[in-house]
Amino acid sequence: MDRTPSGITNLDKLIEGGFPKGRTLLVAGGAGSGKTIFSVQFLYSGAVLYDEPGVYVSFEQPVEDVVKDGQRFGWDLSEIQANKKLTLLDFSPSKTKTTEVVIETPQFNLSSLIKAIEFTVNEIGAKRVVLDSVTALLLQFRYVDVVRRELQRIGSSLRKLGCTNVFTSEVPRGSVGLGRFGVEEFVVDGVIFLHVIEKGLLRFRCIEITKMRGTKAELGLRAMGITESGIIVYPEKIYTYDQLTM
Amino acid sequence: METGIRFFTAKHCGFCRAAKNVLNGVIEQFGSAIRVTEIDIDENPRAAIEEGILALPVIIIGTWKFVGVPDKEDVMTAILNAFGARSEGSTEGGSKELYQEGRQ
Repeated sequence: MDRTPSGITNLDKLIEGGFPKGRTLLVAGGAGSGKTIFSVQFLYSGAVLYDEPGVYVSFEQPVEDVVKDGQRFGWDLSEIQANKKLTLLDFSPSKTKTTEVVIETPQFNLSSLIKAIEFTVNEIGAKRVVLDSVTALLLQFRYVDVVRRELQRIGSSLRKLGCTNVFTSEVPRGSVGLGRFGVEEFVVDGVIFLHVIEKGLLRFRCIEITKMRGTKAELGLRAMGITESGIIVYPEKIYTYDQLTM
Repeated sequence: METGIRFFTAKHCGFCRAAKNVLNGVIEQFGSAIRVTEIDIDENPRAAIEEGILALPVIIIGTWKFVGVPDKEDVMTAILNAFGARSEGSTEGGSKELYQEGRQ
């Protein structure tokens, strides 16, 4: 199986060299776990190291904030945008702030979003797509079942385009599922969980691969850090559940 | 006074045809006073990106946004609220008042 390097330092050692090419991965975690950093690092490294243009679709933060936050890690997203290696699509609520009254009925589809993504992918020859986050997308609608059905359409559309995709999902504190709506994990080929585990006064960042189709993934909780150059995984540092909870 | 409605649609979208029927049924009561700009996303995907339109159909009337196939009463209320327009059969009265009655 062809692989797409994740761009996350050391992660590919755990997943046979990278994400399965043309598949969709879910990166789940709580607030502040590093989901957006992970997804932007995936796109930035794709553009800079592997000559694979990418599309970032924001449903939460204005894209200006994403560009600004990238500077903390030395990622000049404006430059790679100018070089047609990255396009940022802003579908955050701030984009439609002039709308005061929204009336929604269940007779709709997400064809507009799908068309926007397909158009942009074709325009720059993108190989990587990020949807950040599907939770925020779902929160923009009242009829979640419709959006869930449409997420599957988005996934199959991206598959036809041959892109490797990362969807992010916010997991509420104490939740046992992988997303606020409990549906996100069913529409993807792989799941990576970013944990922030508190033990006493200490907090540990860990990464866990819980599902990866077509891949012999190394299971278990691995230590992870967010450094000034982005996310680093420490594959040799494996935590047991007892170490982190007792 | 702005008298434009923006209707985001696509040819392959069945819900869009239903929404268009509702919209046309309402605006025909206003004669030529109200202009509808139809934006076909297949022909103009940049419009979806620039306006942040995720779903279809979407109708934007002033500060009101309809996602899906709307009720004609809601569309009428939005038009009266946005444009202060009156249909031939409507009585005198402020559009704001009508909006408040419809929402309370």
